[in-house]
Amino acid sequence: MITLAQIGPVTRAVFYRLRSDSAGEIVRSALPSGANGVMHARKLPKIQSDLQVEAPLLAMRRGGIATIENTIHAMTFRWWIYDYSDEDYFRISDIANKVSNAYDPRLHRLMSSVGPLGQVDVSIGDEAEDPTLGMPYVIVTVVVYC
Amino acid sequence: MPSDFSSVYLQLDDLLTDLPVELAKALGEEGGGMLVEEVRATSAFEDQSGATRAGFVAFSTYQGVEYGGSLDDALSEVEALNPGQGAIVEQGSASQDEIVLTVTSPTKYEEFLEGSRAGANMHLGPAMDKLAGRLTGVVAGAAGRVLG
Repeated sequence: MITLAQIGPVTRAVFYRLRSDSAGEIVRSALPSGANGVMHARKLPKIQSDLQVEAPLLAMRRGGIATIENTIHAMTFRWWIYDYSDEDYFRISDIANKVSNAYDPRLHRLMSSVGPLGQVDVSIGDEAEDPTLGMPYVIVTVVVYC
Repeated sequence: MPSDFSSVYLQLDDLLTDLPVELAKALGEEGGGMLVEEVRATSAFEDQSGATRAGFVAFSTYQGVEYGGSLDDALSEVEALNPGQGAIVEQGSASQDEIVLTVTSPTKYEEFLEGSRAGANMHLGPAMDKLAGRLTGVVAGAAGRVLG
């Protein structure tokens, strides 16, 4: 069992799956900035014109952690996939599918420095628009049970 | 061995009618209480007027009936602390057999807080994440009580 003290390694495993792992290549190849278009959410600027990379891009933020039956932890991560308004949701939808495939446990076991992780569930959210950045987005939620 | 099962079928009918209602009540009242407590404890956003925090409400909906917190009361709390900033919350659609659990604060800027800059001030989603196991436990417990 992985303890809550190991949130860091699990978070890194989820992040680097898309940022640099071979399984995430399919996602990076769809981004004009490649790996630079895969970032932590805290690196997003406050206004769209300050973006350092071209969209579409992905930003990850960890969500809450549920403890089930005192033994299993369900760690939630959200990938926010952004694009320019002119592009609507077409490219975002395509990338959301690629993100989902990159975490498919039938293809790639998610590994971290604490060892292989358990089941991974991925879901794709509704289309929405970020009122601050003025960009459409879709959230892909990744839940890791460990 | 009895050949008339009509009374058994009637009991099953009653059970299938009562069960989802009891699950919705437990989820809205007990589960909703947990959710409101969780989101009120968040520091994910600046609470300038106190309206968002005071307005947090959670309730379940089954076949058009709501169980748990009152959206009207929450709206009154918001309006008292930040006049003119209360918002009517659009109810999510659900099929006839679904129980929907809603947690929100009925302000005009709740959507802004939840959906800006990759969730920089997000608080409802993470609260749901955190309580997923306990909410499932509430439903399982209610089912156990009804089914005996």
